[in-house]
Amino acid sequence: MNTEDAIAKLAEDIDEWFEEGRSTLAVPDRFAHERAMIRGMRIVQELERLKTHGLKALKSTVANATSTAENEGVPSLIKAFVVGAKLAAALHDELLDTDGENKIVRLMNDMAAALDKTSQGRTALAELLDHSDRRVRASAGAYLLIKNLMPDRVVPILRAIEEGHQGSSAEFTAHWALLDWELKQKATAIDRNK
Amino acid sequence: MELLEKRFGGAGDGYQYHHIVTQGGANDGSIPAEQLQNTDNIVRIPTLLHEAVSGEYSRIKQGTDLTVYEWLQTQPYNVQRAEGLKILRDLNILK
Repeated sequence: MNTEDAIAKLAEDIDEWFEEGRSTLAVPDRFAHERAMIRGMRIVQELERLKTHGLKALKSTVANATSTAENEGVPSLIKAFVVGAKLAAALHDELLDTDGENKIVRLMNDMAAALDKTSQGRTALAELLDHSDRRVRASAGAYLLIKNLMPDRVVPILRAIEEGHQGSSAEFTAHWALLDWELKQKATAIDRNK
Repeated sequence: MELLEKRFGGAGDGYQYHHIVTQGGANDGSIPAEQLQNTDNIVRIPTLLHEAVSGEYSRIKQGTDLTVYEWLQTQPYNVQRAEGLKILRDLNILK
């Protein structure tokens, strides 16, 4: 399986795992919860497998994208970014695996840096602002806003995510991106008025 | 922390002292010790919750190479304090 297929499969696996886990815990049934506990062990093992596989696939995508001709690697980087955003959030929210999450975020930084070297730049991530998954929208917004790109579009999206108050990684990402941007805007306004 | 323990004693079994505005790192040179080692800035919380708080500070802020701990220390005291309190509220340690 090539890297792109591996990433597509990984994205499907994460989505399936996330949906299954959520629906199991939502059932108010003691036996269902017992089954969920047993399944929990398998879920943890599965997420560990996804982490190992994901790190390898994402690293490979970044390496390939940086070695191919300009813009050819963009679609792969966008797909890899989606997987990274979901996997990083799942590792923290489901396993409190900060170390694993940070490894994925560093790879997402590499993906953004690779996009910066293309003619389109990281604005290629803008297509993810309408993604159905809030974890992906939050990450795409954060990587755009750190460069003050498309704030009129990004800020309302991040605010809507931040106001979710579910204590999830998507809110964490949206909050710190917005805070950073707002503080920079205030500092710029103060400098301008000097 | 040593001074704090000399004055008030240890946090007690299963508890640790937590600094709302963090000590160490860049804050050691930029924020006066009397402001950091102050009862307004220190709370006693269960060790398990303190680990959860530390975990939040260890996360990398997406789009940067900095952890929340490192990034917050680039900000003024009032921002650090407001965000430090927010982290405690988000983890349901503070109301």
